[in-house]
Amino acid sequence: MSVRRQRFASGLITRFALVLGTLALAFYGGAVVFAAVVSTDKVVAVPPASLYAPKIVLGTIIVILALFMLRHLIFTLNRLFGHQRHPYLDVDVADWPRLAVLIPAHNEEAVIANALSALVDVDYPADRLRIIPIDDRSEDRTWEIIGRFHRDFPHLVHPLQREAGAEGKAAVIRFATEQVDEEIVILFDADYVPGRGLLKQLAAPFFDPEVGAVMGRVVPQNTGTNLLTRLLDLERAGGYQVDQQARMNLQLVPQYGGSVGGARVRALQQVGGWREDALAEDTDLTYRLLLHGYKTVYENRSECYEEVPENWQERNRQIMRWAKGHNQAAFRYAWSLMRTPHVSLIERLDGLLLLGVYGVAPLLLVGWVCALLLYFNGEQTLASVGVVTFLFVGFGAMGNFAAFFEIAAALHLDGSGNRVRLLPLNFFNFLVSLVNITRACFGLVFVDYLLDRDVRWAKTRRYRR
Amino acid sequence: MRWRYRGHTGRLIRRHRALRSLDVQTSSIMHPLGLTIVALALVLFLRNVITQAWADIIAFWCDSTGIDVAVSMRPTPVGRIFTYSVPELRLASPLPGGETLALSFAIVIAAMLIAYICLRRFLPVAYLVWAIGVIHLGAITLFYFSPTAFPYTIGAHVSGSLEVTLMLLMIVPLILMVAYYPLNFSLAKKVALTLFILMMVFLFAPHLYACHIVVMSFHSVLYMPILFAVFGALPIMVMIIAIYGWGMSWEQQRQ
Repeated sequence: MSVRRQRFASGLITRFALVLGTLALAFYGGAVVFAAVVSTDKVVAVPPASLYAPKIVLGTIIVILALFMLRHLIFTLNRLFGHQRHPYLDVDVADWPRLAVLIPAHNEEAVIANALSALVDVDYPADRLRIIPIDDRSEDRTWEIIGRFHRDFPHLVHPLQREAGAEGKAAVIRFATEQVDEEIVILFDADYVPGRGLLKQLAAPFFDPEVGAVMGRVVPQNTGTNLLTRLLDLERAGGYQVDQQARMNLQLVPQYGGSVGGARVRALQQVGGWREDALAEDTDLTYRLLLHGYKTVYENRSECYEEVPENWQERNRQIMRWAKGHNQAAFRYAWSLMRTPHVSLIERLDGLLLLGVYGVAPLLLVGWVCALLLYFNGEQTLASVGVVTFLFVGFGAMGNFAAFFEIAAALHLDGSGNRVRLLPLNFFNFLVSLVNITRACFGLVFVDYLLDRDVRWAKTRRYRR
Repeated sequence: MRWRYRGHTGRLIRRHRALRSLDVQTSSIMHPLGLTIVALALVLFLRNVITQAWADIIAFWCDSTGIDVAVSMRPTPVGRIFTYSVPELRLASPLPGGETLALSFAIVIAAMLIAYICLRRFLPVAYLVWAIGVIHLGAITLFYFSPTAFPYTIGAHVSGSLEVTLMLLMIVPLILMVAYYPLNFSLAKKVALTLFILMMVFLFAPHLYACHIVVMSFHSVLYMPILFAVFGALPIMVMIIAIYGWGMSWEQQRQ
């Protein structure tokens, strides 16, 4: 049988198993609910044996979530009290490598000028630097603004224009990377505003030949706009100040985040370049580099400002894209990660847990359903314990979104005073993330995968006026 | 303050936030150990006083609202180590009639529709309303088809919830042991935060569950699932996190 046929057959079998499994689960759930509704028995509404499954599922989910919570706890305590690793911070005077700064831009007239103004002002040696804004079929004034910078700084700004090809950031940066001959590519989204010394900080780790990618800290610039932007500021603080830095400290798997970061071109070529079909090209690259023995480095001191979504719809789109992309990477690399000889056991474990963070939300939701199922069937104590555990563990385990101790510790280290009082309101962010990540997960598995649909990239809206 | 940390105006030059971490001092180890033991011992020592006070508070509100209730204390042994008492309530648990079910159904559907219309601006609230709506629709379905199948009474609901709250009181010092006591706050602040949280849970829980009794006594046990799932342990947890967040915003000790 040809490889193509084999793939088709295995895909068909997997899809069939998936549909069958879902139907069986739905049938079982329906039967339990039906039995609960029609029974007139006051003490036990369904035969006790049929409640074993929700009990086992609930227990398993609690154990998995506890593992994630423990991970966050270890990260937070390490970030607060552990030895902090900043191995490349002191590199200040050097024979700097040649750098290409890529800025993909699709309808970015509101923000692109700020990014370019900041970039032409950096302290990186001009003869080693090429700033490459890439206009990807913009229908607004983006190309005109880029052109103005090209005229004013012809030695620095070398724009590219893309008029055909696949959609999405991964496709754009693949197109641009193929045209650079520099050793390092650094990427910024068009809404990012880098500081003067940032490029040197991001380039310094590449003196270490083991380093394949580098990532800096993202700080929201429109924090004060509304409650959502404030909550996202808390989330980013927890994610970068604590989570990423702790992974750096513990020599685990810091994640390349797609912007305010870069990659070694040779390493990129070695792992096959940017994947155009990846929704989260950043996570995808992190894992491919890891599987090829390269390290990703996190630089907490390399801060850069970005815009966060200012309304919930935009936030939903963003988090659903992240969740789909991350889970796509999980499907692709989890198995390879378990078998690769290039990573230590602890890196492997952290890498797997990191791949699983966007699986926590649906798990939590399934856990709630099990707790309710048990509750309606007279298992109040067990359901109560389940609910209380979820309140603790769930709130503490939710990946990058709502680990409240992690956020509190990050703000404590940031010295950002009263912002931490918004912590309980993060429950709302938690709720919205929970629902939309679950939607994204089900969408990825039951719609995109089963119907063999291409996952589509959605651009984040800009708000700067 | 050491001279080398002083700036031009004599004030502290702070380390950049990216590089900041906390020093491990004697207090970072002694405070978590000592305070956790003391707080846990306090809760354990006062456990029966606490639950008795809860019983009194609930009895007071039931009397004030004209609900006929008999409150007693049920001792519950934990192995052979110790025993704690939980208030046991005996009161009527009215089942919903057809009118209540119909009205409730209409209100839930209306609320879910309003939430859908207001979705764009108040998305988190809308999600909360939908979650409440889905659980409540489940309860309506159950009571419509088989009202006697519902396995709880108001007394069992409140007793169970207070028991869980007592567990919560015992967990609080353990959470703070990891999340607050090791940090660079003064001992007084750590003690104050512990007392604030314990007092809040101690006072808030019986009033919350007295509200549950009032709602269910006047509007039937139809509302019990939603009170259990959304308005029980959840608001208590959110309040704990709120006070914790407030405590985290207090001034840190210089290291």
